[in-house]
Amino acid sequence: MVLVEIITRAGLVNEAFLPPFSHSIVVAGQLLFDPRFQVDILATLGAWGLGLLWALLVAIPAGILLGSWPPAYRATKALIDFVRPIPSVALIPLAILLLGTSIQMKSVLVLYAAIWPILFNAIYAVHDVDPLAKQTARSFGFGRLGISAFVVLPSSLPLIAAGIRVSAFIGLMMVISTELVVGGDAGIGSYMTRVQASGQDTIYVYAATIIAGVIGFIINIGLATLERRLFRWQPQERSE
Amino acid sequence: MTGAIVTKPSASSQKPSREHGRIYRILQHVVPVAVVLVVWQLLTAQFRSPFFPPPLTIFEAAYKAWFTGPATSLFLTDTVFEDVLPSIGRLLAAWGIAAIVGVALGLAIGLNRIVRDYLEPVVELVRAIPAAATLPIFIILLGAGAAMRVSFIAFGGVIWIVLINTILGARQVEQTQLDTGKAFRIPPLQRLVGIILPAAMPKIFAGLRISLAGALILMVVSELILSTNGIGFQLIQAQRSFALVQMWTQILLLAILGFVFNWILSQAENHVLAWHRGARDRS
Repeated sequence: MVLVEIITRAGLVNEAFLPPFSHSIVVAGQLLFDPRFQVDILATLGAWGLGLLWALLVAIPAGILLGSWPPAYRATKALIDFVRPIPSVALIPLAILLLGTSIQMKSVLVLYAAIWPILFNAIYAVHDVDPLAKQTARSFGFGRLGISAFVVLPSSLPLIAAGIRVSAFIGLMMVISTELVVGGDAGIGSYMTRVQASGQDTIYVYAATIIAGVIGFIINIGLATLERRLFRWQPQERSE
Repeated sequence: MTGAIVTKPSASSQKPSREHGRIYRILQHVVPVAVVLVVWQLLTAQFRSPFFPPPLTIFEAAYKAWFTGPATSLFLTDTVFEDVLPSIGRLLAAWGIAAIVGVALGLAIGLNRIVRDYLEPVVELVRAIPAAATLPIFIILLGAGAAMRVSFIAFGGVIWIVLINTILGARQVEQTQLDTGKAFRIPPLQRLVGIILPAAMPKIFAGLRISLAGALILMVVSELILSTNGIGFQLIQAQRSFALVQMWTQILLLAILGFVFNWILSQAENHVLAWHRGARDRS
């Protein structure tokens, strides 16, 4: 960052293309209080949150089912192997045709992109639950459901949470990609395309990028802190 | 009694011969895929939604689009040379650059405590920027050409994955091993190649594999905007002209690329890290 500052201040590059970093930060700060941009941030976060929520609701139960019941895993493995290699962004055009440029379209894409890390982590986590713990619970008279709720779920939560953190980040990237491609009426990516289309000062693009980075950083740190708080009791968390 | 004798080999053939095992494994992969394809075909043929054309239609269009060229160019069509290969070229170039720079920087950061203390916070901050959000900046700085796309793929996203994995890998090198190397006065370059790289390799490989998948995604994103050729360009063109079958052929192509890249790298990983798998199983 200091490097960028020095390069730009020294006049090595045209200021219109690469503004000094400190200047971008100031503009980013101003942008945060611009009501129009606040709408953009909310639109991005809204689509992101909605998509991520759906991903959680689908991927966690599905992952637990597939991880604990091998026939279900074998039956769906081919389908998963088939769909998974499709890069999420390749579906942007299809989603536009199906759903227009609405917030639903963005959240469906987030759902698709965010589902995989959670799903796979859930499958692995449930699959790797200590069998001794399960047997102990069984010998204490817990039923299938009881074991799931009191043994399998708690011990697989840390890995699922790690998947959620990855998914959250991928989802954010997905929303912004989509907004850059479709423009649309509101969103951080839409804001960037608006600035470029209207020939406004490029510093606003930098400022928006910085804000996107800060949002990504906050989400990442927030989720990591939450994980540490929630799973302090987990041996694998403690050793890490 | 004879029955028991006859059935005994088959009962114990839970672990079949090598050849059998291979055929069985292939079947295990082929059959479910075939089932998915058939179900997909039947469903789409039944509902006839314009948005979801039947797979046979897509495959036929894909064949026409890519393999009906003149014999002089190995039956490949123009679009293979004008879109598919340039896309793959940009992707691999960017990935290669990011891999080299990322591994070199990662080793420097991971092995040197002072450099690490200074640069790690910066790395943590910058990698939190969603890669797509940096695309407009690359467009501003470098225009809309191939250089912009390659740099965006390489430095917008891919390098961070390589870098972070390399740093982790380099940090995992055991101090005892490093000290032993020093005690025996092994020259620094040999220490790097003989001790540090092998120890860091598993993590580096994991980073390379994930980053190739990431590179594919960023390649598509970069080509959806302000592009004049490439797979992503064809994809967005097809969408704009409501050519859904063509759009699906591009999606199919991207899925195949994603699958192939992952397969090649995991094969390479298995090959190069064969020793490591064994070592890890023991621990």
